[in-house]
Amino acid sequence: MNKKLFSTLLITLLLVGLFSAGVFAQEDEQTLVIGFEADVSSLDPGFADISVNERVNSLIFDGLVEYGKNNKIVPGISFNWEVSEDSKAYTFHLQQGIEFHNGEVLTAEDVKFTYERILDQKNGSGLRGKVSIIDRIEVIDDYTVKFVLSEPNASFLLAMTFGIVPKDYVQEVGADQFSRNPIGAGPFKLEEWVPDTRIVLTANETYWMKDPKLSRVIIRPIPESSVQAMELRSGGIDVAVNLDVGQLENFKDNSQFQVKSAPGGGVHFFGFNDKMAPFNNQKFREAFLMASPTIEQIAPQIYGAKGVTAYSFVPPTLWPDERDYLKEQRVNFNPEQARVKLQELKDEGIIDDDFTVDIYVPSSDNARVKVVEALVTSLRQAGFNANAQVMEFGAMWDKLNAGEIGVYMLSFVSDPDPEYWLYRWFKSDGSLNKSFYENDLVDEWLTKARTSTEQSVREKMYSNVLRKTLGEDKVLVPVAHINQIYVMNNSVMDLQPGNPVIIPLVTPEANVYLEN
Amino acid sequence: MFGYIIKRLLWIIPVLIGVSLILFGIMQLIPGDPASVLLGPKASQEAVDTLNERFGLNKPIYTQYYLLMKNFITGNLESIYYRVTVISIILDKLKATIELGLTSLVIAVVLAIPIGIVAAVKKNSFFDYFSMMLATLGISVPVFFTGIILIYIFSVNFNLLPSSGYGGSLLTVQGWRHIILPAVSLSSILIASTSRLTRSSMLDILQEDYIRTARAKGLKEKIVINKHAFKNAMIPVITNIGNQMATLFGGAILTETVFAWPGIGRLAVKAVSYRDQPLVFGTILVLSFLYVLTNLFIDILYVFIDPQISYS
Amino acid sequence: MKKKIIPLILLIAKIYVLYNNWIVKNKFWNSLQIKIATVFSIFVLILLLLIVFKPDIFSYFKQKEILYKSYREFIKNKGGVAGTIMIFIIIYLALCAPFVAPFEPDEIDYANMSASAPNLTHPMGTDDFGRDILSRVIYGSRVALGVAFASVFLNAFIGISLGLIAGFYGGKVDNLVMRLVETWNSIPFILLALAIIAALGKDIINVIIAVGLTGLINFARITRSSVLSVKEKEYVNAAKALGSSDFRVIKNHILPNVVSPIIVIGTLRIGQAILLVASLSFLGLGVQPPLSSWGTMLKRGQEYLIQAPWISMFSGLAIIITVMSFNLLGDALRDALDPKQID
Repeated sequence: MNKKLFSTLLITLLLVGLFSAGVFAQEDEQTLVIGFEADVSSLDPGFADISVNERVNSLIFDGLVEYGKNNKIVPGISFNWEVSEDSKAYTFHLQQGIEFHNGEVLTAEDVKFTYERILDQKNGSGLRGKVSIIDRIEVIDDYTVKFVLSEPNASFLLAMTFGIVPKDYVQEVGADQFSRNPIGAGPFKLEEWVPDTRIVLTANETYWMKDPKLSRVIIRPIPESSVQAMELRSGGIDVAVNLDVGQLENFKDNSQFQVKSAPGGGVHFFGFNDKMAPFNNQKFREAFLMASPTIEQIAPQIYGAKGVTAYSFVPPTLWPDERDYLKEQRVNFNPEQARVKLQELKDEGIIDDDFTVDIYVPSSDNARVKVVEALVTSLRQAGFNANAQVMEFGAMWDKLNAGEIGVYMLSFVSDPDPEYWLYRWFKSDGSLNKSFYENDLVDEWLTKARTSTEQSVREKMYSNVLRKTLGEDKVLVPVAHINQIYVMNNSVMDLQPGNPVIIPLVTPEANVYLEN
Repeated sequence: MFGYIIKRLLWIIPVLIGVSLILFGIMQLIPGDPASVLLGPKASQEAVDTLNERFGLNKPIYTQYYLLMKNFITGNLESIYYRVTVISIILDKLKATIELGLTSLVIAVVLAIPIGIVAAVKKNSFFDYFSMMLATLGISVPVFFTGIILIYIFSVNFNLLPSSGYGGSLLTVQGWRHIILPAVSLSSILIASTSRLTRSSMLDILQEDYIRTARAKGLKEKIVINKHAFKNAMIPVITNIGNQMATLFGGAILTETVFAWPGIGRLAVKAVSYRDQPLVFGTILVLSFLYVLTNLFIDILYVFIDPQISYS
Repeated sequence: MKKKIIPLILLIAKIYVLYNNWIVKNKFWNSLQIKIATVFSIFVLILLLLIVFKPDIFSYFKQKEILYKSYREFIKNKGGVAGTIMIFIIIYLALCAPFVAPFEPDEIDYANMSASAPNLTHPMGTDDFGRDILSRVIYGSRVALGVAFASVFLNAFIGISLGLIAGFYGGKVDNLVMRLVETWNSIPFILLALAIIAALGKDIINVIIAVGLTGLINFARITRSSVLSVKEKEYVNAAKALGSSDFRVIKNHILPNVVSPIIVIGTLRIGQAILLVASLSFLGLGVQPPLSSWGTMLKRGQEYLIQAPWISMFSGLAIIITVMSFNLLGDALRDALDPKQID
């Protein structure tokens, strides 16, 4: 009898201890824990390919210039710069005394090295396309560096945000080692990296811009949105990015959490294959769009707070603004008409009786998949044979490149200049032209806009491109512009979303800290 | 006996080679390659080529297979996604998975066997019906559903326990707080099947002649159960546990996903989606090795439980 | 008279359902799924009519000794009876879904795409697209049962064949086959299914293949041991001496012995298959939308777990009840047929 009592007591104590330990467990005061949606694969800023890599790099490295208020370019490591008369030479003056995390002083040599390794084709950097117009880099003195371009490029400055790497250290340890043990000049340095579990960063006490208020930042990769939401609720993380719409709704009304939203998360759209029948047929596209519920109706309901209906390919915050024009060009939802058109297409022999529309979409984003699901349902109700093909990104990318896909849905995000958005998608040889779209006029406009430095000219050119590709040809159909949303508990101060490629913990505009 | 163990250990090699061939074959069929995963849509052709070159992805398949196996054996296998040796990634995860698996096993055994025995001894009582109904329910619920409900109750609603992640070594309080929910949800199926099996096994044994003899001899009921019936009833139970170990390691994948537990199962799933062949290889081969080893261990355990069995 | 009340009520209900669908909604022979529903409904109707008006037809079965004995054993197990009834209900729902479901499972009201709580119109609520969950659960039973039966059939076919070959030919062949099966078995089944689906694509056929190929060892082992125990018996040798081909020997002497354990294992495997498919759906490897399977509904419901728990709840319940029914049935069968032979 005594034995039983004793063991019961023991178990009770144990349970109490376990459950209450949560109350006493406290992290070090200024440690911010962020949940990410994917694993970091490399911390080498010269090869920043996937989004999570870019974002963590923004904490470890700094570039010649930074993103300031409203994402305008402001001085970074370079406090001042001049552009030559012919717009082909940029001379940057570096701040003196900036140190890398290992104590080495940052000089023009490091800048030159950083960009030359990106330019070197042998290294196979994905960033090369953004800087390929650099003809040569000259080191004028320790703190002055000059970039000479082969032709003028209005968006060149955006490429000057890349993280500067320490030449000596990289050459000493090699690129591989460097990508796992990065040394930069940014506000945080890498303390620990356990793949698939966490990345721990500590504040850089000798940071040149300002003293980071946070002492540590822990990044935890949690791909499942529902798990991230749970973690946020139970205090396992302080900030969650990229939550699904359903979870977002919950947090919005919860006074214990802040939901901050800013445009700039990219655009979701679907595209037709311009080289595959009948997807390249204008009448087919119209029938398809007539059978699809208006984007105005479904986008707000599927995306909720996460997005706004999109009419243009470039985000609403980016010029040129063709939204009104493109809105008028929209095909209205008319399932009966769609049915009629479908029959006409069959009669004219453009499509067979058993023709099936397969809409491909990557599985990584729930909202996108839902849009496709709604589309397929609606197409079927209008008499089409339609299927959704949800697959992993890698598998779909293969098929897309091989030209096997008729209609696809994807998303895209890039830097705030229309060239980054339009050139690669619509130019005949554009690297992202997955619709295999070829139009001489559009090519002309794009080239002109790229090389001109006159704002009005560029605006006109890009307007033309948008009107032709989206309004007239409808080769791509934008669905929604996504907001970048941070959900955080009430202790996080001064953190604002707004730029998808950085985590703005320590910037010219902000210095994030925790307050209990 | 010793010879038997050696023979079984030797058999592991062809089994693992078989597994590796099957894996390799299937991986070859999967569309998509690591380049598009790693480099994303903005990749240039040169970047893709460099990557393929570096990881030998454009070599003929028999060379690729040979390299994979060679690197695996020498421990040089390198993950394409993480670019560190697979061994260094796996060791931590392995520890986490084994901790989770063993904890679930202990919970299951400690709970299920007594329940099964009591249910058998008190056959057709309320306890019997109730516990067996619960047990049947237990094997009918998807393991991740149990996990979701547990999280909802303990973490979200009452905020008593953390909802995910690894808490550290089991020698710390935090470690225990993080492992309880996943271990309980993982063990639910094992508890259910083990208690059912224990009960039916005990029932069978209790009807045997030698038990009746022991009772006729006037031995106290408790001794009859503990000494004579129990050991023999355990044989099929242990077999079942052995079989379930595979499920345990496999089911750990779902539990690990729901609880974001940094174990090998979750890593393997990620590896497949990253098309990271070396990592897939490494993780699945290790899991298979574990499974085969566990089976061997169970078989050896038999010898001590049932003196009639010998492997000479 | 008491015994007849339930079948009578069912008969009336059935006639009402048929009236509603055939006459009022004019759904008689419109599409494949409606054809199936009609045919099955006629079958059920005839069955009910027989039970109510001519129950002595069943006395024929009472005359077969062995069958009757097993039947009486089986009836004793209340769990088994409950399970069987439940399974009949689910099969009925699956086949007559177009007649029984109150709404179309895919119907989206584009003006109102939001989840609503269970109410009179929608007893199980609606999902985030505004679709009726009760209807989706009913239609989902077709996917669940269809995939489960097909994959277990595949699994049994392959497993039994392997077991037969191993047991019958013995020796080196036995060794080789069983080692191969063990190797295949040592890969964690979810990873194997994952890899197979990743390779073949997300399609209902591929899910069936993936699930059907995992865990072959159960059927193989049981078949093999049955074969081994029978192989040396007199009548087999006699048959062989008389010149019967191997195939015939297998068919006439060995297979009948294997039937009972296989039925038991098969029944239990169906439950496991449903769980496995649900798990795969949870990992994102299930059927393509908008086809609804219980597993994908569960996954979908996770996103709205807090504000709309009914999405996950009802699909989860559907899985649990179905799997439990098959488990109860399997247990009862095992007890009734031959408890010693089956492990």
